[in-house]
Amino acid sequence: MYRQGLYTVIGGTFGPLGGVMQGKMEFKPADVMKRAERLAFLSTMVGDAFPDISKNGRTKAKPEIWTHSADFEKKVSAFTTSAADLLKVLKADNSNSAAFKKAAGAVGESCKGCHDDFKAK
Amino acid sequence: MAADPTRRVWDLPVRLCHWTLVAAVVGAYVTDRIGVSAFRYHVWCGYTVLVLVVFRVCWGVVGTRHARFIHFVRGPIATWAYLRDTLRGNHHNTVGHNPLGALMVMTLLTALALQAITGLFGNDEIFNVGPLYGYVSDARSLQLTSIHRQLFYWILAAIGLHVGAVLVHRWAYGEDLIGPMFSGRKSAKVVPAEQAIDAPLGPHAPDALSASVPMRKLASWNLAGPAGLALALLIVLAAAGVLAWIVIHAPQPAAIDSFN
Repeated sequence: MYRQGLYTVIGGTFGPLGGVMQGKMEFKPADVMKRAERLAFLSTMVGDAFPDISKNGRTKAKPEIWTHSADFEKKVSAFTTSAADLLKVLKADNSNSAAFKKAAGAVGESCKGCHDDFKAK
Repeated sequence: MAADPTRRVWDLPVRLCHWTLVAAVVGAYVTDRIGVSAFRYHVWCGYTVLVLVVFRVCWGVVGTRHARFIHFVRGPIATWAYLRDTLRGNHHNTVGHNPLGALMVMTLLTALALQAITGLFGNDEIFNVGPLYGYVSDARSLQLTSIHRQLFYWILAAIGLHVGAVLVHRWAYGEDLIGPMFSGRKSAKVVPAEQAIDAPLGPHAPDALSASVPMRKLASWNLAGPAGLALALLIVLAAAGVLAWIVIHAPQPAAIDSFN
């Protein structure tokens, strides 16, 4: 539940950045900055959201998370790094720049990278 | 050496449909692998697949001889007889699709239609949603996405079998099926004159349709020529138009510009 709650908040925080990146939504600097700041923080919580006891029950977390933990940790840190990069890009230039789009896209790719291997479908 | 005389078997719409479908399926795979930012191109590949499948089904009713389902889809008994003969080493080449090939045509068309339709309702659990996502609940969307993901492997297997069978025909039976899918032509030795798609219609006019006058009129057009191309184009445009209408009128998912 803790983990699902975390991912719900991550999705709600990041989803609109994806919308902005794809041109479906307006770039509002204050809103985008707030989301990027929160995302950078939230991304640091993911690594702690997979304790051993959370393997069972109603979860889409694949057992490989715990059996291939080195690979999993690498994917989680890719997310943390990409979220930190996005914030850095916006701190340098809080505008709808190519660098912003690239950095937001990279966050999306890091989500997918981990979902592909470690999230049951 | 004089060129071997040939006769037309596959009309241009059938061939274009086949190879565009190949390109769209490969494109869909590639755009999925590229990542979440190529999603919009993935969707375009899906639209293409859907329009082509709809076209091919229509063309299977009104198209030229070897494009018509009625001329190549066989029942289980005929299919079994063909398979048994082939396994006994008594293979006989078919002008159009053989009974097993027919089964593959129907399987691939069905699977690709399902794949494209489930994709319309899907979402990637990151920030991309299919164009018709707004029609279904999030749980249903995830369910359809799951089918979309798993069906891919079945389609891959079917494509493998399809290509494998074509290669078996090449190596075991000396029958080239790939060339004719480009040129539309097969050697006159294997195609009786009356089975060429541009053969004058006479006693061989599509039999099952001869009952109704409008259908007879339709059948008397030579769909192997420009009239067929025009009709094919019309079907494709109509299918694309309907799809566009559905997509444009789909409810938009709840606004995501608020914290939700």
